Amino acid sequence: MIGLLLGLLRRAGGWRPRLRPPTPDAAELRRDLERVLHDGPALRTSALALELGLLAVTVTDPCQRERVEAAQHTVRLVLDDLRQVGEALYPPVLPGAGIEPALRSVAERHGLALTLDVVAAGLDADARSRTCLLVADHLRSLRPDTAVAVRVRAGRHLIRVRITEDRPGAAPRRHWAVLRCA
Amino acid sequence: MRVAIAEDGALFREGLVLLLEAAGHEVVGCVPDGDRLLALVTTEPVDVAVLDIRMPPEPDGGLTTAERIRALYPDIGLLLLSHYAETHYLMRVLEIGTERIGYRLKERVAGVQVLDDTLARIAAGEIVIEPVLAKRLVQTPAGRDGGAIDALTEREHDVLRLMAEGRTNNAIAAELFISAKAVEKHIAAIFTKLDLPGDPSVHHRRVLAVLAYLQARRIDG
Repeated sequence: MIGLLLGLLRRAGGWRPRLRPPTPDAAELRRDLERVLHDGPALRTSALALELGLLAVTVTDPCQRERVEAAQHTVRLVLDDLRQVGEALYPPVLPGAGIEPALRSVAERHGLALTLDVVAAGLDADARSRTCLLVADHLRSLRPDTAVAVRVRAGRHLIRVRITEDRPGAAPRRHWAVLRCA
Repeated sequence: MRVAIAEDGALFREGLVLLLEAAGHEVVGCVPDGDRLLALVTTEPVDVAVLDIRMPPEPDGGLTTAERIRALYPDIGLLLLSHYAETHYLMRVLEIGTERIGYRLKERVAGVQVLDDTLARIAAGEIVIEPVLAKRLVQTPAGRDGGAIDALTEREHDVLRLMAEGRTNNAIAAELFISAKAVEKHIAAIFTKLDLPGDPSVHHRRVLAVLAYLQARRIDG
């Protein structure tokens, strides 16, 4: 009976599932992992791309040149993959630019039409990070072309997040979350 | 060309030096952070400075250093490199300047020809934007209000995207297999549809067109 009621509420758009933010430890781990990925594998692979670029100048044999070009292509694919993993772990512009540019970047990559309404001045790095990751993870779960409205309000002790999704032919879906500021 | 490099990854820094030298450029110095680059360009004449966006001073030392260099030495060309193609970085780059500046992915300049071409365009006063980013910016989701941009035809969109990549009219013509005259016509139509002010500097109007395009897409701020 309860399941049926929840199902009806969900279909009518009246059910607002609560989203769970990452713990402070999980957020910190994700930031560290992205940094390791950026400063380690990504940078070393980019250096390998330079090495192949140098090699391409010296190779004169057409067969060898073709193999170098194939290797360069593969290196670019590897870097594309590393970029995707890094972006999912921790939005790269978040530390320098804050929540809004970071979320716009996620929405842009996933083809979402995002409307942001963020009032969150004075948040510390930890709260900013957890709030952004909570919303970013949810945005990544949506289908492209979804219109999403995200509202974030930070008070003295709590941050309230409300997300509304709108897809043509479907009832709007809403989610919410509450995080502690510190 | 006299080039200075600031990059905190030693392996990439060394590879870049070798590639620049292979392209026939003189590397006047390579340093691991923005502050040292600023000191370097103060004592050495430099045509173009190559900066990693994400280096000390953290978090985006390349951008803050580029800002300082542009303010002190506006004639120095700036090439900002990153592992990530971010719209936010692009907007910051455009705030720093719209001439003699570039933003590209690190691995996409990993060839003598492409690196040489990128530096030459920057030194000649152009803006060079990573094609991957310019392409992504035109592929916006349906339903997003593009304002005047939506009034552009498909061909005008193509031309504007290539303008956003910093291409010249001839390069756009070659890419789209149309005449340079046809490109000029499309650009004139873009200027009219975007209602850009009649500025004597054609290059300035081009940048305004790209900016109007970016703002219409609400890609940032």
